[in-house]
Amino acid sequence: MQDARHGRDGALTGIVTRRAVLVGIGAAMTSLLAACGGSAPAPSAPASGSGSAPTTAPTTAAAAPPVAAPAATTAPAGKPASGAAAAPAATDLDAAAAAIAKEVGWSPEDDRVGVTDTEIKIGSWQIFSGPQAASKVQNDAYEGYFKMLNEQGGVHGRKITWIPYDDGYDPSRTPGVAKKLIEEDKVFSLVGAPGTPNNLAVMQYVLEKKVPNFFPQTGSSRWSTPLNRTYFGLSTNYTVDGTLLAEYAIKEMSAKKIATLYQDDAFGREGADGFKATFEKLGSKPIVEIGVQPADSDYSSAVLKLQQADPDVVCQYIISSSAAKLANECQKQGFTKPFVGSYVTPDPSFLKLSGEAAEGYVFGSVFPLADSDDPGVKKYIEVMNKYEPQTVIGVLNQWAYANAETFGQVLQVARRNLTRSRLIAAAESLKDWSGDLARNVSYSPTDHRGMTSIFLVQVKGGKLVQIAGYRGAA
Amino acid sequence: MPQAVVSGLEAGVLYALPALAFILIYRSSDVMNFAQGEMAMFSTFVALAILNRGLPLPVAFLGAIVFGALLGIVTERFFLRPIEAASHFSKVILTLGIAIVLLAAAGFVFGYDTHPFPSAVRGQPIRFSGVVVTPNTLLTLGVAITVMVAIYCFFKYTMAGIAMRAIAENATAAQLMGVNLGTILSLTWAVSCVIGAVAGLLIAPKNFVNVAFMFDYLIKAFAAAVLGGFTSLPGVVVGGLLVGVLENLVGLYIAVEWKTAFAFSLIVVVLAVRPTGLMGAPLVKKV
Repeated sequence: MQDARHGRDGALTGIVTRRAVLVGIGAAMTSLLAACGGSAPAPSAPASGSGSAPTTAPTTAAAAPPVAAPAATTAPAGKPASGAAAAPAATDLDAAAAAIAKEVGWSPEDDRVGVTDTEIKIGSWQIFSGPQAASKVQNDAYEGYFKMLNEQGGVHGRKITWIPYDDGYDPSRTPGVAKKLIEEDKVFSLVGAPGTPNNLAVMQYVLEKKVPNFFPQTGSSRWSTPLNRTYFGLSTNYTVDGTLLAEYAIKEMSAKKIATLYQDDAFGREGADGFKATFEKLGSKPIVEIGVQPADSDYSSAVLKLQQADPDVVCQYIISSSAAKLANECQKQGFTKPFVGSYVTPDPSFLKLSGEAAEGYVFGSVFPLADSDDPGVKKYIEVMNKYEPQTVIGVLNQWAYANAETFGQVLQVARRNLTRSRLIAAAESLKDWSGDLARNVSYSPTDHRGMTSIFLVQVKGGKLVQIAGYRGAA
Repeated sequence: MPQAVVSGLEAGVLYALPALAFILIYRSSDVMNFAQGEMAMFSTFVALAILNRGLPLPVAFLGAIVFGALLGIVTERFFLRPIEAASHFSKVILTLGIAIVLLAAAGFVFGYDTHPFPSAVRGQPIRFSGVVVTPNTLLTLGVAITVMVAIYCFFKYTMAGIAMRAIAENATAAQLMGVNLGTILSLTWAVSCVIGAVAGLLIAPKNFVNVAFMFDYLIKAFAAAVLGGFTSLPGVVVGGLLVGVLENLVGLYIAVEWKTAFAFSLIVVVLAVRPTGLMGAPLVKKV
């Protein structure tokens, strides 16, 4: 229902999906408990980590055919590589990997699941059917990017086998798919699994199975907070987004009176928490906070409330179709104050549905605009045109591409002697790495957020135009 | 306050129309047509397809209405009638099946994207004493009221309408009096689906068109039907308007996030006090 896009996470319009959120939240809480308890028995793994990554510091690079750049700054596939920090020395990686394997509790066999001399098996549930079927463009980006890597010889001599299964964006189907990937296909890592409720539905299971989950394709902060060593977020999360948006409204739009309007579900509340963080930091307060139901189709009372409160700026955190309805209702009631909103909102369908009603609206943006002259964007479009010409260039596809290229980079840094623990150690060594679309990606053993910045765009003449550059959160 | 009431009335008539469509079929066939939202959705997509061919809006409206009528007749004649003797439960499941098939078919034919739908009339909002009304709101109210009055007159004054009422009262007796049950049932389904299509066309500019765009309205239409008393036509209209206005008042004075929940709790209370709804016939067990 309603739009796919990132906002799909927040979309959850149907009753079914809302139920799933509840289930998901339950799952998250249990997984939290599991995570706390799960770390305790780690010592029982008999120094396995070190055993699994024993040798070959210098030989790895040599063993790796085509793409393998000489160990250090390894940018897969002729990227405008800006990896500020060089990849860590192999010995550092070994030491880190050993500690990680011990903490997670991987036996040497577990550590190597899904990797052979010639192949790395990865996959995730994707969306091919159901009301969100338009989201299948995500899978196009994974397919396309990995096809390109394979054509160039793979990563350190291994070809990537990408295994996507349909879950129809239905969280009740996700567990079955996850089980298949993990127990039958025995994937090395999950990569780019979409949907907050879908990910939550299996989080406990995935943690129990100790399978890495790289870059769930959702902006929830749950993949990095609380920290799980095997989970990594990539796109700027909703909390950070909300924090930066409110900062922009207060500092750069000089708004004195701010109203906040958010979707009353896990997605919108997280963004609203970001707004709140900024207000608290700056010692101010919104003049009114309005929560709207994701399934609402009538926004007249919300706009009436805004009219009464008469703010200078409205900070909004809602999905695109709701935002378009709201914009139309504002126009109808003659409410003309500026809106500042989430990067989730302004997808092509928002621009189409809201028309001139959204003129002047300001939004965050995570990935560079698809029509920009940025060389990374050009490269991305080239890759898509070559390998997946039928796909739709847009934010969903861009996001998936950013996930895929970042995973490629992590594999590259992890080198030939690939294990799950080295994969994690490699990821945690990324500092301010930028690919074609992913920008300033940083991880550390205590921070798995990935990107923590947005830039700002404004609707001008029915198109998004950049108005301010990347800014980051603390 | 007056603005909330006006906005509420606009939403309310859009709940009342599908609610009317619900009970028309329920009264004559004793079936809850769970495919109604999907039928209206499909009809609206037909209008959209016509618009996309560059034809004017009235043609699109007409196309959707004709399509709706045919859809109703086909459903009744070829799906419902063959299982006439089956239990109510089977018929309800059948309508659910039709709903799912239509949903998948619409996705296949029209895609799952959300599309804008033009308002029939554009123009500057009209203001009087603090209340803003757009021309499209007036049109929505006008069309809805016209449909309601037309339905009322149809039942009151035309032979077909009277025959429908007769069937709703007692199908066997009506048949003995010479009413052709099949024809009348087909006609009922056609009328119901046309009302659904009109509702879809009025909702579309506000809520945009995708395969699920009727969902929220249908839930509230159902509530309106229950609130008004499931059998009374005027009751259903009153029910729809009440749900719309209440929602808006709750949204304005209590909290926007509570508006739907609160409106529904009120319905629960009303039904607890008056199980037959506001204007339903008193419960008499048929023997």
